[in-house]
Amino acid sequence: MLEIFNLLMDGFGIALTPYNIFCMVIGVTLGTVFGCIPGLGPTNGTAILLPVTFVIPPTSAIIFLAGIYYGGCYGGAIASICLNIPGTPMAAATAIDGYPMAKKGEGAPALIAAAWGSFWGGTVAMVLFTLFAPPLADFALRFGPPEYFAIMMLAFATFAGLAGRNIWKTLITTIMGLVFSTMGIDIVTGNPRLTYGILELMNGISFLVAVVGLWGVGEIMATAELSLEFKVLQPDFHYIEIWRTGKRILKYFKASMIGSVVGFFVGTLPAAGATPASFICYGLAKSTAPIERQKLFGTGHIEGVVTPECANNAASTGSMLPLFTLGVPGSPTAAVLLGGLMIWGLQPGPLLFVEEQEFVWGLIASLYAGNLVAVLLNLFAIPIFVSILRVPFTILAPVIVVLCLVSGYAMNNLFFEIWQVLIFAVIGYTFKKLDYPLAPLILALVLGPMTERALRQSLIITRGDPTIFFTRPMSGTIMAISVILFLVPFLPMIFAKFKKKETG
Amino acid sequence: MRKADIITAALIIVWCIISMIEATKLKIGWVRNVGPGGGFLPFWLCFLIGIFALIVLLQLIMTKEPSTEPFFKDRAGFLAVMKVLGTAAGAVVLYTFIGAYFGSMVYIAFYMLYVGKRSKLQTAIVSIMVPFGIWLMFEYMLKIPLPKGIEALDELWYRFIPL
Repeated sequence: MLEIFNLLMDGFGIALTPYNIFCMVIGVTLGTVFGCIPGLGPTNGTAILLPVTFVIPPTSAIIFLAGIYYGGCYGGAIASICLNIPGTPMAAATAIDGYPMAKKGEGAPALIAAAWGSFWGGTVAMVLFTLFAPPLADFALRFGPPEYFAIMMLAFATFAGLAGRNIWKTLITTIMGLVFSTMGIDIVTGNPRLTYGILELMNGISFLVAVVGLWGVGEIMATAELSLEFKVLQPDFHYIEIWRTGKRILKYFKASMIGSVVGFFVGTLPAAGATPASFICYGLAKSTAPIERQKLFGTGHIEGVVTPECANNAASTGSMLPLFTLGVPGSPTAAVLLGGLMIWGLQPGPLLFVEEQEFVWGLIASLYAGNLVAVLLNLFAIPIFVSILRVPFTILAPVIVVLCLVSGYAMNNLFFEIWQVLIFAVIGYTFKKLDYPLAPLILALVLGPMTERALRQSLIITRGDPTIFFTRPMSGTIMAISVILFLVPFLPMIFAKFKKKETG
Repeated sequence: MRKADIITAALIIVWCIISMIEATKLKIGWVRNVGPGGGFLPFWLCFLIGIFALIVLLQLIMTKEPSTEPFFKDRAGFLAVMKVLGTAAGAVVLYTFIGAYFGSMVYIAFYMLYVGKRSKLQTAIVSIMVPFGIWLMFEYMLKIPLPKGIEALDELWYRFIPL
């Protein structure tokens, strides 16, 4: 415990240089702006700005990107409350009570409550992160290739286990991500693979191009179709409200604690992430509240703004726990961060905590600080961020598209990848419409190469004997859990069959 | 929505078949003492997707209450989506000829004036500032050269603006 505290203090020493604080402030500001704008969020924001980080040191780079991530979580609520359109999907639950509050003329308290909620959620989750990460990394240090393969299987199993309405569509996009990741050069023999005779595909499909296409241009297409006239409810903002609202939400300590803790653990699951976390916690807060208060939910009740905001920030922090300890990202944005780590020459996984202590603890400390920066910025600059919502979509759309195209190119300097951005945009738009989930695709695309390496390394160790995954105690246990999770969505089908037989 | 769903599932199956054929260029079987060959994963994963897509397709065809909701909300929605996609594709074509900077300038100006019906002043400001900002960030600060278009333009560019 004391050791963790000392390491954390060292981390603050590393993180709080003027240059890093500058990166943090810029990151949080950009992130909040991205979060405000429907169609842009932390996932494509980090992806678009990833090339920018190639020239700065890794610690500053991750502080910058984590700032965007945090800022995006805060900013999403602004559009939810003032427009009734979530700025990011994870802020959708905030709109349920946030928009009615704004309509009642309580826009300013809603925005302030969202900022305080985000801060509380992020901070509680950071404490949990600090306590859980070192022992988990320590445990993961004993992993060999078979255990890694089992962990990857567990990650994929959570997709199936927590799948949306159609399990088959979830399986399709997950495996599709894996197939995309195998394009390029075969890692063992060095032969071109799945290139369809196109020379440029030898480079493989870059996850960044996929993210920018699926979430960037694809999202703009979806937003354009709604052809909304953004009617911004301008809140009447006074600085004294910050204090008053702060006092007002203290009453809902229990709900915010539920949001933060449950949000954190839901966030650590690769399949779940911040959007379901905020809805789950909203539901939990509602059902655990006294009956007379339950009726208030949905009519503009401040508790219904605080809880999902606590949850989505906590979940975003939670999604970084498996990223830094196991190398398995817990959300699409964490997947972009993972891609960044690899580009900067760091190998994500338990070894980070041993070999790159300075980086890891600098990052953890910077997350505490980034949260503080984000809450200050979001409390005192609310009027500025609300005014960003007034920028018309027809100005934003071409600018965002240009940014997406250019950052798609900047990754590998391949013109072909600009076309890929457009192809992914069409795929993203269509899949979104038809309920094919996109997050598994991107996570599988990022995890694919690692999964294949772990699989083939393990099999080379055993000379092609696949039983190794089940006979080693640790990988066997993880594999067993994965198999059970894989089967969960099929249980209702099986039970239904039995019932039919009984009654028939 | 149903039609689009069926077409998508069918296209996924077609893509799987093509990819499976493509994967057979490498060893798709189990190599003795090594484990799976290079084409093993792509081949069998595509096989799985194909099966799942077939299940989705069958579900769609056999369902008793097909969704009657249209894929695009209305004609205006369809046009709005196509405008975003079409102009973006146009921008990429422009990039090949006149480069990313002038291409973006023309694209943003076109979109704002004709799709967005913005004022000329707004259009001028945004379409000049954004490419300049991109140049500042990518070319000047990050030293990532963006495409300059056809070769003659490329040479001309570096004569006036050295990297």
